[in-house]
Amino acid sequence: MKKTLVLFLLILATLVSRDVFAEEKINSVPNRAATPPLLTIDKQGNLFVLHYGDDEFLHIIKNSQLVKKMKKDGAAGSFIWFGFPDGNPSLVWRPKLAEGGKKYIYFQRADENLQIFEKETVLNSAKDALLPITVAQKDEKLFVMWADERKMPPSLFLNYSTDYGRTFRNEDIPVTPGYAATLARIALTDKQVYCLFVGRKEGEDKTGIYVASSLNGVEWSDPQLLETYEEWSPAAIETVVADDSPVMVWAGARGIGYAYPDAEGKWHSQLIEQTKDMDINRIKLTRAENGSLFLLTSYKRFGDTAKKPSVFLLTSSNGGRTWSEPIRVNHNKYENTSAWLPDMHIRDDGTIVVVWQDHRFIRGNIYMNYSKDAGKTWLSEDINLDDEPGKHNDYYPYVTGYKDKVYVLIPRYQSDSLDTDKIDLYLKEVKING
Amino acid sequence: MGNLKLFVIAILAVGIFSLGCATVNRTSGDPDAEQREALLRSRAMEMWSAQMAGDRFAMYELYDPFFRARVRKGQFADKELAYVKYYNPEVYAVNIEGNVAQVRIKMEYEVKGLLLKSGRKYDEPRKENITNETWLFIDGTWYRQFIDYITDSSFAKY
Repeated sequence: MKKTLVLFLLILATLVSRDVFAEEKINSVPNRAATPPLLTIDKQGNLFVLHYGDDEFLHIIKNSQLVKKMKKDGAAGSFIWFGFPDGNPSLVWRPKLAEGGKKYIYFQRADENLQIFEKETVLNSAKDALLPITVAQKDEKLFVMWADERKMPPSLFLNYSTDYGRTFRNEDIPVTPGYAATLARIALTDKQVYCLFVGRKEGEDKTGIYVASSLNGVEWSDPQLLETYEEWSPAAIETVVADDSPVMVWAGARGIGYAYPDAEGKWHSQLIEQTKDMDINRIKLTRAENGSLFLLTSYKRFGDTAKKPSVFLLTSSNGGRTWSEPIRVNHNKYENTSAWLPDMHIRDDGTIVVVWQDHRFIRGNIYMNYSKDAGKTWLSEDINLDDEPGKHNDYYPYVTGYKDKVYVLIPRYQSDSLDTDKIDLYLKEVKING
Repeated sequence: MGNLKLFVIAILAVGIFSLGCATVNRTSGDPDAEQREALLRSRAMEMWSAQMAGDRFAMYELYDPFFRARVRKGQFADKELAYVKYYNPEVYAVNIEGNVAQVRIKMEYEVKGLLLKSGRKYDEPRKENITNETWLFIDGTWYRQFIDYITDSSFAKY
């Protein structure tokens, strides 16, 4: 009898270990409309969520506890980067100042407990920093780039630090004079800095995808046009560095394009054929420890009103030169509801964890699936992460993790009115077996 | 620890585990397929009965919760199209895929006394028609998706 009970308890413990923990509301005020929250984790496994609240403070939540609220006079923020360049928390933010329309980008280092923030460093020399703002960090280098309207058209400027953010340049640097930018990313390699942007040359009416590069971060090459499209322009871009070489990906209403430089530095770019005419809505590009690249996205065919989008994973084992056929991740039986806007986390053991917004219960719920063999196979049934499936309206999830732990940030509308200024943030820990 | 104590712990653990599991990927309380279809047909006819009776409040309650969260009942009730009359509605066909259903309704309608911009009154004699409706299974029952046919838009985004 005793042996049977012990065996039973062991089986039970195994089952429980696969469970999903309860979701937890972590915001004290609703998220400010149209400002995405940020989810990240440090090397000790501390989980951070940062978001602008409707009280116009920047809220910093560590391990589900609000630890700091920050505000500049009249601030209504619109950008957050939070990292640990030298181990300590560092923040880049833009609390847009209402008075006089001043728009500064601040860098601030903090103590481990996020109670004391050093005096802010203003990164822009003028007072007109616009979105997009992008940050890249590699070892001791920290680069921050933004669109700046001090001179029209609003082109890209940057500032950088080579000592983990302790000091920045006194004057910022023009990167793309004469080119307006709507999307931008930086890629840092050992020898060069790359700026990928979607924009338009002054006096021209066509939007293009451009790349510029610099050996020292100060003197920049003229932007080189990679691609331009007749009927659409990209709505998202991502970069990743593989084998110390940048891979750039962009996406929009008609597919996903990518570019990379060859050994001689000559750029090659094209559309991923498998995604041609697909209406792409979110991309996530990640490099795994073994060097493989994973590109997660969701789409349906452009103009197709009968089918809703699904989540797909593409892989590259040659540094982004070629991409696999898309592997469908979601398993809903019918294609009359959306599975879209996915995010992914790759665990140290290579497990790819994907979460997405799924409407099979009509209201948006967050679903998850995972693959332990580099995306070849997935659980046969997706897992609904909502505590009460079908009850709430969740959207645009974020996922991160530490060792065997996986955390999902779930933005949730407060009601069926789907008001973007009434959004709460929920956190859920998901323990994946094995 | 005695066997009984272990047994009690095991039972409690099973209970707790079951509670936890109930929150994952469950559709507890869903009627089976036949019940769902019967419910859909009943709700669709309820909507048409309300439409024929001019009961806009009853119609409002049958529309999807996204619509009801954005449009007040009184606002909806004020928009009755009194010049269109409907007769003999019946469910002509039903196609349920998951929580989305397409329902085809056969009915007759006529237009009486529609006031045109010119000031003239317009009548259209009674004729048969088939309409397509989308119904959504939410919170354990079916709701008709409100669609603005002028802009082809809906508050329900799925």
